[in-house]
Amino acid sequence: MKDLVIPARRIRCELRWLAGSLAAACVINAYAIVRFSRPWSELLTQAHRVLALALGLWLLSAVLRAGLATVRSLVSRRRAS
Amino acid sequence: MIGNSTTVPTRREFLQRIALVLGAGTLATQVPWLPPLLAQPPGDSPADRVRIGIIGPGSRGGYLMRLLLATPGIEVAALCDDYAPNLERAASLCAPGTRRHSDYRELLASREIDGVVIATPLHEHAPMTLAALSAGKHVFVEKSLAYTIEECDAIGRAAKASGLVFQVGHQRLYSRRYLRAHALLARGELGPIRQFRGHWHRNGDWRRRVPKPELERKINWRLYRRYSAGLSTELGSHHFQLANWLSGTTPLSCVGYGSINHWKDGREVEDNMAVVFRYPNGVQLLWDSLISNAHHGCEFKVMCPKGYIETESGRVFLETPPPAPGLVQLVNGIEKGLFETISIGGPSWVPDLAKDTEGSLLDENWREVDAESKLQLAAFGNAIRQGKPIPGMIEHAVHAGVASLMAQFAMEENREVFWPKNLCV
Repeated sequence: MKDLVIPARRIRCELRWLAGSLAAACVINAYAIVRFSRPWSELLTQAHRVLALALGLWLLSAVLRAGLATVRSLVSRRRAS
Repeated sequence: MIGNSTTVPTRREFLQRIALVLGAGTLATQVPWLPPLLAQPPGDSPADRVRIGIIGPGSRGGYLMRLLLATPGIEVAALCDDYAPNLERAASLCAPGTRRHSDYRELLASREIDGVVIATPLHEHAPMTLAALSAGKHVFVEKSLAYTIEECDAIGRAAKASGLVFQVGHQRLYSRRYLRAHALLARGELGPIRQFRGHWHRNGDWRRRVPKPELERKINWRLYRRYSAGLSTELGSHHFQLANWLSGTTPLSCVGYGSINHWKDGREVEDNMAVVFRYPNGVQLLWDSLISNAHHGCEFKVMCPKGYIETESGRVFLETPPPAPGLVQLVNGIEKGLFETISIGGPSWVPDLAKDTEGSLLDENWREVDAESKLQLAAFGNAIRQGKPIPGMIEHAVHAGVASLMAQFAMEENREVFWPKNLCV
């Protein structure tokens, strides 16, 4: 069986995307609090939902980035041939 | 029903149980009958022991006796029953040497008894209670208070004049979920009470096994009008007491109907009934009972503009549930915008179906069935030890007893029965 090697550069990149997703989820939660006139305590009480949203955003970004990388790869192959 | 064993809780367990009830908000200061529970727990000294005589240790009386045997600081010192099998069975659960009587007057004459628990057929409540008070004994009498309105009033007057501890078996006064419901309503969080709705449904003939035909009326006294007022006093009195307590007032009048439409076995009291009590401010209590279908069981509901309470199941339902968190509302809104179909035509009205919401619990620990009965007996014992009557008990006893009889008379006489004037409380 072949070992999978994830380069440190890739891990750092994904952690940045995850942090970005978390920040975006926090901003969305804050927007929702203002939009629906809910108490600011929801910044803490809804932490579990914010975390779930952050993971969702990160997965979505991963899918989009994987798709984009595939398209780029196909285009570069065609140019090379 | 009399169990075969009794477990005396440790003093710590007992105090924990009391703390659980009193922990429901600041109830101890708001509900006048709770402070006796806060009394110093009894010590091991004989002087701390309260000696109780049980008059009628049959079914309900036997149950109360079992609870008393498990209450610290209370001694069941004497038993009285004119039905020997009940007396023997009860005596077998008590300490050897517990005095036995077949005439309650003998028991009341005993100087060794501080108080009595009366759990006899309804028509015997008044003569026994009045005799006990007159003999200087503290009294715990089972609901409903008495067989006639005049007797209810006479007991109330005698209890007030005696200065003795007087308590009636309305155990819901010591239930945490009812106390919480009362506190919730008192705070006005649900708005004013607009209606009470109660029902008590069972499916059974309400009969007990009779060893000899001549004992039919003695054992199945609930079925005969000479001894009982049937569903009104045996079941309804609990809910009528609740309506009086939660509304803080008494009914103005009562109308109702009842019949024997299922158990046509020679009984004299109704096997189904439906009554409406009129309270001040246009509030009503709609109550019904039957013993031919148990689907709906027992429930007492308090309807208010901002919500309603199902007291028996201990749930509160808000008319407008609290809004969901902002994030959930945002996601729901996006989801609705993406997936909801827009109807071009449709019904111009929505059926008024019952709301299918779970509500929230008034008390998470209410399943301990005996808790409230244990506590009311503990309060009875503590009050005797302190030598102070329990506030509010005479009012609850008389008001619920009178309301139960109003319901019965409204049915029997097919008329509107008004709240009697010049009652003692």
